[in-house]
Amino acid sequence: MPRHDSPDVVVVGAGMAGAAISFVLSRAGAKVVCLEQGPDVHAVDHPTFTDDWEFSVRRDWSFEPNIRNQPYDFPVVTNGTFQPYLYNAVGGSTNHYSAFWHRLKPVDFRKGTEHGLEGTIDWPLSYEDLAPYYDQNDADMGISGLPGDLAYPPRPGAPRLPLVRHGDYYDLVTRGMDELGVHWWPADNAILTEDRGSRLACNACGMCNFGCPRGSLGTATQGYLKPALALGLDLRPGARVTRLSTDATGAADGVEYVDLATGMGHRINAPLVVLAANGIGSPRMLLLSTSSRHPQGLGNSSDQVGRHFMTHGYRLADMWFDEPTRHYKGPFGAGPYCQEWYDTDLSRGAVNGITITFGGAWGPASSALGATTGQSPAPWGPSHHAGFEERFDRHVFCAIQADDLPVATNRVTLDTGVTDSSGLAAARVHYDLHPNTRALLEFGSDRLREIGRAAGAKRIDMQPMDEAFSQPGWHLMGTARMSTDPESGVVDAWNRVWDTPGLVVCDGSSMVTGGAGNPTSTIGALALRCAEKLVADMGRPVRADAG
Amino acid sequence: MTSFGHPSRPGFYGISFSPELREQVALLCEAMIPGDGSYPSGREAQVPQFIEERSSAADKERLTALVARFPLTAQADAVAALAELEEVDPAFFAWLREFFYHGYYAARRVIAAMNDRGYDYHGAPQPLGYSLPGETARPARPRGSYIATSEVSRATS
Repeated sequence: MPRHDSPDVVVVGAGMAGAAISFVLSRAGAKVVCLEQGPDVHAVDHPTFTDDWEFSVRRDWSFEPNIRNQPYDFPVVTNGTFQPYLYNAVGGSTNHYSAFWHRLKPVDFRKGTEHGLEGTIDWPLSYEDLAPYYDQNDADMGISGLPGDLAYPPRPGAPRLPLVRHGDYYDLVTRGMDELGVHWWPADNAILTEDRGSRLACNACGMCNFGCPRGSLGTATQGYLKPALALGLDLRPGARVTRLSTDATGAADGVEYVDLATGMGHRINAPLVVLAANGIGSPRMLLLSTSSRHPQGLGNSSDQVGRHFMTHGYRLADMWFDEPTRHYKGPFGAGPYCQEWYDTDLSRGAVNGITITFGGAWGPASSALGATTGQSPAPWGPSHHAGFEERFDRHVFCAIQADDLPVATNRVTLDTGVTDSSGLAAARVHYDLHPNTRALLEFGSDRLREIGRAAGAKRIDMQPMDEAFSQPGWHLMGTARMSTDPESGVVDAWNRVWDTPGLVVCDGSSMVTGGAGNPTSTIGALALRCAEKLVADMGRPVRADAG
Repeated sequence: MTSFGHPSRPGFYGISFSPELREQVALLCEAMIPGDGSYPSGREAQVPQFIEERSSAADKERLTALVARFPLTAQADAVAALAELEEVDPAFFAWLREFFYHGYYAARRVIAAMNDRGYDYHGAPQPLGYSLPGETARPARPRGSYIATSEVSRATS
């Protein structure tokens, strides 16, 4: 692998966006260095080959960096309302995701027009602008699914592999939705159902969320980093960026980083810096990179960095059946979804809408502990085994996902009282569940109960919404958002930072709204669009504009 | 890529228990999950060994504090201790239960007992995976709609 001492571009972060941008730029002949503070992950590193896998996923393979607490993680301090979920590694959080492959819909790009509540603005691009990149990203990643969902615009350019197979839970819940006559559709998943090069088709092991040693799961590594490495990408794991630097004019001119394996500090000069460190890591890095020209941090002239943090409102639930559900087989968390109530209907007392998703679940320990919600664990003592058999193979994972509002006070800042292993200030995230989001989740809870009754569930356990850390922060969005003007956001329509020439930010932080669907597909599409523009403008200064 | 690998099996801390702590944990395991003829007990499933192998220093400290609070000399003591703990300190009890249940359902003997009871769960997800024959169902009556870009307007009640 080449080592570029004077690269054309430095990319910070090897997750979905960083990987896609690294690939496109490398393919165009640019010398690209990609720095990732986390490690490379080998297939056998995943907790997939041992019987204690359920324990590993609660501890050393936790979604939560504060639980893993590895030297390459960074702490995320919160106000106790949600759990920050992210993974620091080559491939980023795609090492650790359900691969549920939703797109945003046309209306999601125009929520400022539709209601403009709180800090809601329109995207500076439309669904139609992004659609070709969604299609390309689908082709690059390998998506299984069923074309023809009437709840989305037609996607003739998006290739689909045959559907993944699921446990028996799938037939139970879809029967219920058919009986009610509501919308449902088999989920698109970034999961191969046919072999593709060295990647093997899914064998329904049920463990997608904690990595896939077969390569069936469409990770940033499989989709983009491996081909980028073949094109000459200089990828450096264990490289923790400590600061983005700027020259005397205030333009980005490189990065400083620490090699976590040696503790040595390094500097790379480059005329273009791409920050792709996720919806918490990117604003943290912008805020850490102060200078005399940027005393409030990069991109922060209008005090927008870190604001409008969104993570989707969630209410998780367990549906319990008398029949076997085979929840431990097939992909986790990515079965059928219902978007009957996706669009705004003010008679519900709220704007925006919801998606309800049904999926497989974990194994016997999780079942014994009351599954996803933990509301009704099997009893201890002599009745334990009978209680276990009432639970294992009898439940379905359910998620009500609400389109969050961008609220200015839901914000990423720095916490200088807590540091990572290199002494850098932790991210502090304040997030309050907005009343609009709460109303959507309560509305969705009633709809889920109706589906459960129609499906024949004997009981539904709902996650309490007001317990500490009850919101799962899987999706980190909005904190360096796109905008049509420098006052409303951090980057322009091409992800160029308004106040810092030579700096691009592209990841979940770029998203202006989150819709009611998982964002990785959108992040990948945005990255491809951003990268294509950088290639088109190669050799010219990278500078934001409102055009 | 330069070499910076993922830790190999993080979560083993090299902690060892005193013989006394080991025995007290075993009594608690046996009380938490007794055997019933079909399934082994927590002790038979070697849950105490799992707990010791996977305990961090902080976990050991919590367990040591627990047995200091509830000295156990017999199985009946452990049952009474768990009952009291569940009532007076549910968060601690939940932590203990989570640890013990995970150790139990990671045990080969328990997975074998599940198989004898008719479940085809085989423990580690890979390399076997599962066979799922048949077709994934499709909606009987497809429905759905979306708002086109040109149709987006101000929401009014």
